[in-house]
Amino acid sequence: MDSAALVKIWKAICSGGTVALCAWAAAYAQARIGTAGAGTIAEKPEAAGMIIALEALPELLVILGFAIGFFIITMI
Amino acid sequence: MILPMSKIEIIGRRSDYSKVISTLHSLGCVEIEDIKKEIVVGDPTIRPLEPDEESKISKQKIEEILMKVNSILSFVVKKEKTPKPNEEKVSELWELRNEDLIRRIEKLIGRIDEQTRELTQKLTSLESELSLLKNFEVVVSKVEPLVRHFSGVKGYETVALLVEKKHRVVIDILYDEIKKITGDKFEIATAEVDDKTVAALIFYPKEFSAPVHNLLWEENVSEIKLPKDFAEMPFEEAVKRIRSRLKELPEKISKLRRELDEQSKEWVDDLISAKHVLENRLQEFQVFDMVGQTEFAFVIIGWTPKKYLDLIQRSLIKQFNNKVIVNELELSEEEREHAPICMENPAWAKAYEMVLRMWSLPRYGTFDPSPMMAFFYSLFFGMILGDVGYGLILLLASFLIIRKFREKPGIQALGFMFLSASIMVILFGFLYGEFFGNLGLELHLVRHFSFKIGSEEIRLPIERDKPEFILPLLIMCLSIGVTQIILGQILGIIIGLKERSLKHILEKIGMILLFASIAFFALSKTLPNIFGPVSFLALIASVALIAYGGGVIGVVHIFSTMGKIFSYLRIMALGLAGVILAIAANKIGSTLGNIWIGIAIATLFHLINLVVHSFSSTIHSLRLNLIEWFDQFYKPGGKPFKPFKKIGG
Amino acid sequence: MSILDYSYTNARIRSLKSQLLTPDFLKGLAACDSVEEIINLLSETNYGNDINQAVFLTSGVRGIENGLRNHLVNHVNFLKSRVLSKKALFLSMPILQRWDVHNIKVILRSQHAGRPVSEMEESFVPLGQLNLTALHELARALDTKELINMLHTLGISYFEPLRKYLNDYLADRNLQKYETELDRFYFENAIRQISSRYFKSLDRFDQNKMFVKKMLELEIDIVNILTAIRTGPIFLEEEEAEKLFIKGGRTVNKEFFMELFREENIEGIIKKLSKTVFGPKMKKALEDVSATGFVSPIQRSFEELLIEKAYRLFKEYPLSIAPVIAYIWSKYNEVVNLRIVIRCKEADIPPDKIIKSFILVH
Repeated sequence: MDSAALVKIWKAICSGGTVALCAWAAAYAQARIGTAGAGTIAEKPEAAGMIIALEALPELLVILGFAIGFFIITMI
Repeated sequence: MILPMSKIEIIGRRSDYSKVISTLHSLGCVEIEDIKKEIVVGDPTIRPLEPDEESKISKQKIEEILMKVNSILSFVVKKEKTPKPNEEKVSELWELRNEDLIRRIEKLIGRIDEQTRELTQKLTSLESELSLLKNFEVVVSKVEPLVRHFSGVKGYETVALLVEKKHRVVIDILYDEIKKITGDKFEIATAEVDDKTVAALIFYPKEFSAPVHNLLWEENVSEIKLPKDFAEMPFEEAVKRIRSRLKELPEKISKLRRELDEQSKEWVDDLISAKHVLENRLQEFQVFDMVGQTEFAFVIIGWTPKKYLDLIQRSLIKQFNNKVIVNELELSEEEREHAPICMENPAWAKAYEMVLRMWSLPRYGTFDPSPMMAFFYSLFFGMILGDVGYGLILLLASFLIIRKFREKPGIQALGFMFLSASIMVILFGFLYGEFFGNLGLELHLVRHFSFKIGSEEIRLPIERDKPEFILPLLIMCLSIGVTQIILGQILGIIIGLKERSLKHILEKIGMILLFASIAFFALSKTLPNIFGPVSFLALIASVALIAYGGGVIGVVHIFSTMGKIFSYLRIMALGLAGVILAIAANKIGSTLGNIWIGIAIATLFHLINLVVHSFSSTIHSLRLNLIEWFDQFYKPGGKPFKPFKKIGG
Repeated sequence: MSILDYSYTNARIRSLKSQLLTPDFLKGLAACDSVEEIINLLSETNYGNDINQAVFLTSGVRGIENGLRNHLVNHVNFLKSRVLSKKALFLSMPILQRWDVHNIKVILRSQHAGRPVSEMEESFVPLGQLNLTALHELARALDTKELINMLHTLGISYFEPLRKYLNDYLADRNLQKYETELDRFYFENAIRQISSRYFKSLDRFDQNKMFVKKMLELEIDIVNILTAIRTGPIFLEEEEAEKLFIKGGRTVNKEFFMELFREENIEGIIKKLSKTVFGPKMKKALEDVSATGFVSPIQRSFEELLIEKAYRLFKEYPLSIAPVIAYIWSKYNEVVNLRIVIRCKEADIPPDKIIKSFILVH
């Protein structure tokens, strides 16, 4: 296998790994916010807006991971 | 903007008090301040208002009658689901004087009470019967099959036992003993109740009742005791009865409930209106101890937006012919800080006011950032979403929302929020050359072109998914971030000037200087040589200013502010993710072969992308405002303005 | 221990906790002019529905008390069915069952004294396995034997000690001894229950089990002290007294218990206890014998200790079972405070005295 192909393979693995790791981290964070948030909304429906916002914030982790994965493939 | 507030003092004759308070109540624009906070200790001239006998009696009467209204209502409507009162009925009741009101509602209650008492009592007794029998459900269901074995034989009697499993041998002993007593005329059947207990049924001629019971007691086994109301009948029948009651009770209960609901339709409206009026009347009594009195006069102290001052003065003077005085009081420094916050904004900035309410209101004496938030939110939203096609859809949707929800200002405000954002989305869509992702480019609706500024060649559109545009986009996001943060510093300086806090101002100036010096360093190659040392000096000066103005925390703040600027990179990252998903939607659509299926699938994907993406764009745009930007200047902790007004009015 | 197990439960408990009545609200109630005003203020709170309905069916103070109790019961049922996770419920059951023991004791005592059913009803706190209707049924039992049969029929395991020691009780009519056996059974059972490996993750080293155990240990101490107060060398031989000691407490061991037992009056006991956590609270309870009338100040001071203990655990371990226990206690306490307000208002006791007899823990 020539080195160019090898590089390509590693790029794919790395960028995939990045996205996967970030997605896992975001999922972990959202799970914790979600359980606590569901509890809070059940008692205080007016807090729903705040909870939805909090629930959505960790997704940035995936998006950043996705951007980095994209850079790995296109820029290096 | 935050409305300027006035602290007012209303003075009048004590005899006019209840009319004045009624007028203020219906005006609904004064927040009454507790007089106890205002009274100087030891000041004999002013004390909390003491209600006269008449109002005491009326209040007590109203309390009693409200209690009755509430207690009847509690059977037919849930507290949180109480429907709105009928306006006609309310205004009719509102006109009545207290005595007439009380008499009228008492009559109403008397009639309803008669109708409902029997029904509700029956209902609760059935409910408690059900709850009692449910306790016995386990035992009953276990002995039921045993009972079927031998029921209905005359002259025989059944006794049911519970035996712990560990003492199971007792059953064998009983067998032998009962055999001795009755001869062969008996039967024993057993069944498991749970993992610790066994139930046994003994069936024997009645004449042996006494010796058998004695035996059981001596052997230390428990007899099954059914509820007392069933104790008189034979065991088999009791079990059957309990089973059938358990079956029929829920039905009976729901039937009664329906009946009650049906009945309540006649009067529930009247009661809710009565409740509404009574609660409002009570409110007028409840401010009693917040009002002050001197020998002949009463004193109300309160807050009102400056612009309503005139209205209050005019309506009080008109009604009482100058017998009531409304004075505007001078505000002390401390009072100014704690004045309640009443905000007023044009429709396009209303939504941000709501966001602030959820977050934390600004302090009085600072300013309302809602209009600026409207601009930045739309800008960020547009930069992230940036797509002509998506923008048009959003624009249409927000128009529909604004039209449809004229009655609900809260939701309408959201419509306005999206309206301005969608315009930005369209503008940035042109800059990025995006129409449903790369569909515009693919269909040649968008053309590439370039022009030169000096030696730099500028190529448009900025295709966000192409590597060569990543650097320009990065720079664009960072510079937007720097701009907003510097604006934040300037706002901080303005607040500092208002509050006359020099340290605060110096810290903010230091921060701006710091940005300037960093900019000089970055551009040092293109600038004349002299800027090198100047930027170095500026850097030192800025750190010194920050350290002086903000102390150690100020210095720490330097790093956190730098970090905040990088946070603006999320604009690019989110945008990139959105574009790639949009392109993916087009790609999936184009590979499907059949053009119509392709379009359908692509549309579906675009819609999902649009919804998900606008949601996260909203959240992150707000976050950049609320966290990154607000940290630079925002002073939270304002107390909302709570005027004394009619409940639900 | 995984934090996740309790995060949902905890979030809900916290938001429920934020709905507890504030001290200012309670003070406002104490300052009300009439009972009707109190009811109207309460009807704007979570108590509203239950109190309004109860007041419609039974007028006067009795109605409000029914309403308060119904609310407490409904609320705990709501906790059991909707808020607590399986594990949280498993661990809080032993705490709730203490009220089963309390209720059974109430029935035993009135049977012992030959008092009628109606008198005992208001002392019931149906938070454990026995619900109110079941308690009413039990209260109709003619004698202890029938009570035991009924308990067994209902599947309540407390019939075991009652049956075992029934003959002794019938012989010497020593209720204190009988009750001690009931307590002993409850504590042994509760500790066995939480020590069982019902959930694999709740292993021996789980700190949540420890919290429940700590609460139980404190209660064992309290029961022992109460026994020492109620008995004395005049009534009982030393040998007999030793049998009344329940082991497992934290502060009161057997020797100490016997020392307390030998004291002839309550002052002596309090003096002996002064170096422990119990001393100051009991002393205070005796000093300002509050005008509440219907709860004994000593019992109330013990409840205060339990609540404070629960809150201490809550603050130290906010992501555990401790908030649940603390919440259950503070809800119970809130209802007791409200009962105090109602009773005192009826007896025309001035507001500042009412406020003084509140227990406010935060």
